[in-house]
Amino acid sequence: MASIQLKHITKRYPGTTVPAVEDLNLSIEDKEFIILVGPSGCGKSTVLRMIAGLEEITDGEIFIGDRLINEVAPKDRDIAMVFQNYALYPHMTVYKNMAFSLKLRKTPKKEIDEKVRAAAKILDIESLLDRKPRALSGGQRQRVALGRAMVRNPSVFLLDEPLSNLDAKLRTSMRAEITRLHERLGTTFVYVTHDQTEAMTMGDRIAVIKDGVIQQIDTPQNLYDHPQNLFVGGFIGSPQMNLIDATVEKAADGYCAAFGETKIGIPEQVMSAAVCADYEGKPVVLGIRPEFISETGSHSEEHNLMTGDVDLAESMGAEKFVYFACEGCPCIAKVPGSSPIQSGESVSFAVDCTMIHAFDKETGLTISK
Amino acid sequence: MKTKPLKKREKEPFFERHLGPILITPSTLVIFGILFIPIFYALYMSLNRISFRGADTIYKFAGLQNFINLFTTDPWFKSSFLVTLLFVMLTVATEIVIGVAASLVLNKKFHGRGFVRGLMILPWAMPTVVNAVMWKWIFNAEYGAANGLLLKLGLIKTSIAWLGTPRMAFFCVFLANVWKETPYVILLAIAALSTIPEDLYEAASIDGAGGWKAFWRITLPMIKPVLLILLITKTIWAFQTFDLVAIMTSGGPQNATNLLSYYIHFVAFKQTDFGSAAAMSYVLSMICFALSFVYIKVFMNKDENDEKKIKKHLKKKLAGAHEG
Amino acid sequence: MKKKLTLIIALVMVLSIVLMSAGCGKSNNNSTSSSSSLKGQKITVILPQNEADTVGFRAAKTKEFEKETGIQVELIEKSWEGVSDDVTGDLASGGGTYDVIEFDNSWIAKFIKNQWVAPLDQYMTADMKSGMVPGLLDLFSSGGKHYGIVWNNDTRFYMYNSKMLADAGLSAPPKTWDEVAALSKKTGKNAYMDTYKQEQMGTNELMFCVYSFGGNFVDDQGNPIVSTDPGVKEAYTWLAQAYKDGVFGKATLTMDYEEVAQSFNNGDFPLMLQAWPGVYADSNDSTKSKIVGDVNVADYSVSKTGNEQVVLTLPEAMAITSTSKHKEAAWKYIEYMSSKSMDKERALQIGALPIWSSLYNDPELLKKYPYWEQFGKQAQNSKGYPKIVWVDSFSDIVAKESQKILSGSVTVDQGLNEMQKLMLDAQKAAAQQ
Repeated sequence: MASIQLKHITKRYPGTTVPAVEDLNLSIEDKEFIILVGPSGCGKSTVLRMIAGLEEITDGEIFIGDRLINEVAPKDRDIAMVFQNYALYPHMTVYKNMAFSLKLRKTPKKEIDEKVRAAAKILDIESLLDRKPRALSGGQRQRVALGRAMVRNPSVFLLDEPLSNLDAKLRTSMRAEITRLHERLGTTFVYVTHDQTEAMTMGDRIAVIKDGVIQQIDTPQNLYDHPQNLFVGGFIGSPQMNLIDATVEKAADGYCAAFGETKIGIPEQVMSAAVCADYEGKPVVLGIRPEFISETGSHSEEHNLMTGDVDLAESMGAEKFVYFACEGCPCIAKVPGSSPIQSGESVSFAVDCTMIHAFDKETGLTISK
Repeated sequence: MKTKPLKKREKEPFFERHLGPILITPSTLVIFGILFIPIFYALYMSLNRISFRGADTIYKFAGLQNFINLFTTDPWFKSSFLVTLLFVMLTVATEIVIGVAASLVLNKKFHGRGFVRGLMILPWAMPTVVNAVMWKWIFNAEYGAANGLLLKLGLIKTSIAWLGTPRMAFFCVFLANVWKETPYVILLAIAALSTIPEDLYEAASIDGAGGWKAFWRITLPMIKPVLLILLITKTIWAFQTFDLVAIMTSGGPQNATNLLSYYIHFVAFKQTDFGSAAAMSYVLSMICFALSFVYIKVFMNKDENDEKKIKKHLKKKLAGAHEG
Repeated sequence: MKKKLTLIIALVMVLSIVLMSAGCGKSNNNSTSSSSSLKGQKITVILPQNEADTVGFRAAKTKEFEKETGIQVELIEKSWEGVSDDVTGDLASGGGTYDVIEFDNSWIAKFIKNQWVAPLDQYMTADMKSGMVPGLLDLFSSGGKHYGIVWNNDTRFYMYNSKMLADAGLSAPPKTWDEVAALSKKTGKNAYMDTYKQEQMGTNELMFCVYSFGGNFVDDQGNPIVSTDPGVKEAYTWLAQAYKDGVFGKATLTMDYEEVAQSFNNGDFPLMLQAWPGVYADSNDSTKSKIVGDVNVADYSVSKTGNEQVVLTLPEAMAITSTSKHKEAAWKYIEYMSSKSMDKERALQIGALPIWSSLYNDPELLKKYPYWEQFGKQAQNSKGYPKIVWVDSFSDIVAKESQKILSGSVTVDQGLNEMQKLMLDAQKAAAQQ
């Protein structure tokens, strides 16, 4: 009913040569929670605003359901939007903020009242209805913004970095709440964020965007497990994936990626021998997630060791991030919090080579399976 | 332990201990001198019949006679009062409407906006007297620019005595005032508009309020506090308009532009009837005061009500918590 | 704390008030001083700028006076309006600021009644009393005492543009008001422009018209006779008709003197009924005028039948405030500035009309200003404002009500009756004060 189709969408701002969004195709299913993620300036907000009708589309077509909405006014698109700064009307009470769109549609007063109170109840802001936005905390404002979107009962919810102005703790709880809200409302959510944690935890699917181009669209797990290119690999996951320039070399029992003295084996399940043979002697980028680098204690093989001096050991309680330099290349390892590693020590880590990624140095595309 | 900081405070030098009062004393004195003394002195004057004998000023208590005379025997007060009222209402309304409209345009981004904004401020930056003299020349019946232009364009066949007929003269003074004072409205309105975040309009456009609706429901309420200030200051200034009529029309023709402040000046300094002049000044001040009061009541009422509601609500909640 | 604060404030206030009053009191003491000790005294003089004085005559002579006498003079020159406000404001609040002040012909009754100006008889020499133009001396006198010495003999004269008249087929300027109207009818253009503005200057010119119809606004006792005087009615009947017929320009209701003179020198109209001497000089200055050589002064002024001839005189004098602490020094200044030799020098330099009778026969002056001969003929009957205390109200009423009559918004009778009523009210109000 409220699927969204973006077909060959291009957005070019006047006076600029590089398009903000270029030939973007995206198909969002009905009731899906899709996340548009990417670094700031990547065009993700532009995409959202084009769906909302706040930006004109330079080229291409957008459908909501099976209706072409390129020329449809924002208010007639059957959408609601939550803004980064909430965009609450400061001169109206919470109640009036929420009732505003219904009032403009000449909805009967009684119906407005019912809808506003119902939404307020869901969001637990019933006690705030008489207040003005300036008398609310950030989290409360966010709820009001959500409520304002909810009362319209739209078929599409557009959320533009709605949590970025909240403190970390509130953000975590709001994250869960928005997810629940999505389940409860059963409408399509398009959610823009630059925060990969939000993306990973909330979305059914994630579209990673860079320079106005979608890099990969997939479920969070697939993005994590199988990044299609260097950018997605580096962007998804926290701490960031270690990316190391290396060369594919032939080793005793197959192939390995070598940088300096260090050699990491490339098992068959990561890259087939044929691919490895193609890349033999060529530069690749090796991707190793910090969680797959561990203390040598458990792996006592000679192979797949990374050694270096620890710059910093950041204890997070349950776990510890160890920053070290291996062959002059800065790396991070994620070890259990109980690990005795201290700054300044010289350590060697074992790499779980079955979990490594490899990317073509030139194209950035994944060459591992 | 607890008393220690207090003791230390007492040991501070006199100047530091009394810094606050010392700092406000000069300004209090100045305010007292230039505000309260004249106000009370004028009240005293308005209640007296004043005559002069050399260096002496003779005050003869007259009660409210000066005030009563204004409305009974004074030949010009009533007409002057009505003309002033009309002038104030028309200029303030026009200036605010045009000013806000212009500021909406100037708030849009366009090439050369800064230049145009600067240009708009010019009339306001011009001294009132210069402005008045300029308009007097423009509207000169014989060789004024207005006639020259209209004659050249062929819109009129003979020169118009702009300042010669009551209605036309009133209109000319009105125009000169609007020309001079509107930029101030624009200035403040632009400042107010620039504080409205763009995303409010975006939210409104999604909510279904674009164009006019957005103006009425978003823009206007958001700049309301500034408009209120404008309304009050503009009204008071309009009541005080003096230079324009003094230079352009001397209150004529047929008293059509005999604004109260100009008439007060005449009664005080020409007729040397300071008692009546003080009484008129008092009437004028009271009107300004009353109007400001009404404006604030009417325009700020809603906000206050909201605040009251919140307080009531909090009280209820607190009471509930106590009961719980 | 709060109590202390109020105490401090109260204390400072009381102190400042005491200081202020002490300052005022102090300056009241040294009012008498012998003539030998005038040196070093300081007087303040406030006078309007003299439009004709483009060479800074007054300022230069004031400097010379300071040098010669050792009396310091602070000379304040402003617009007439500005001087009027300052002088009235200061005198009404007890005076003390100025020693020598502007004393306009329209202020005479009011200032004398308020005792704001000091009599000058004790200082004036017999020469002065006998040698100055009697009309000017009498005008600034009351109850047998002299109060002002004229510095600006502002008498008005009938001037005309002879070329424009010749073009219209006239060899001599119109002598009667009917001839003025006929001229306009003949040429189809305005015969004259003037100022009938709602201001004192408008009243000046309306007064001239009424006087020249043999009318008077008030009788010899100062009582309004507007509604009964036949001359007044004739004058206004003529004016209202003339306005309708375009005998004078409609802009006359809004123009001021400066604009009228410019328009005249621009060649816009042929008759300037009551021009001041400076107009003649300007009209022959090619930088200011397009009618160089065309202006002449008539032997007579316009009147009803030719027998009621009158010209306006609106002189301004110097007077000494009754609150002045340096009256003798102030007199020295007035005496210096109005001596016969100074009067002649002023006439030679800036073309001012003399205040000494004999100077009108001075060959040197007559050589420079041959048209003074005509001036002399016109000036035989000169008239100004009535000497009434309520002269400001009078002027205001005439200016305002006349505009209604002229523009036809009331009939002549209605307008004059209203004027009469308002004048009676004003007279009554002034009597109560």
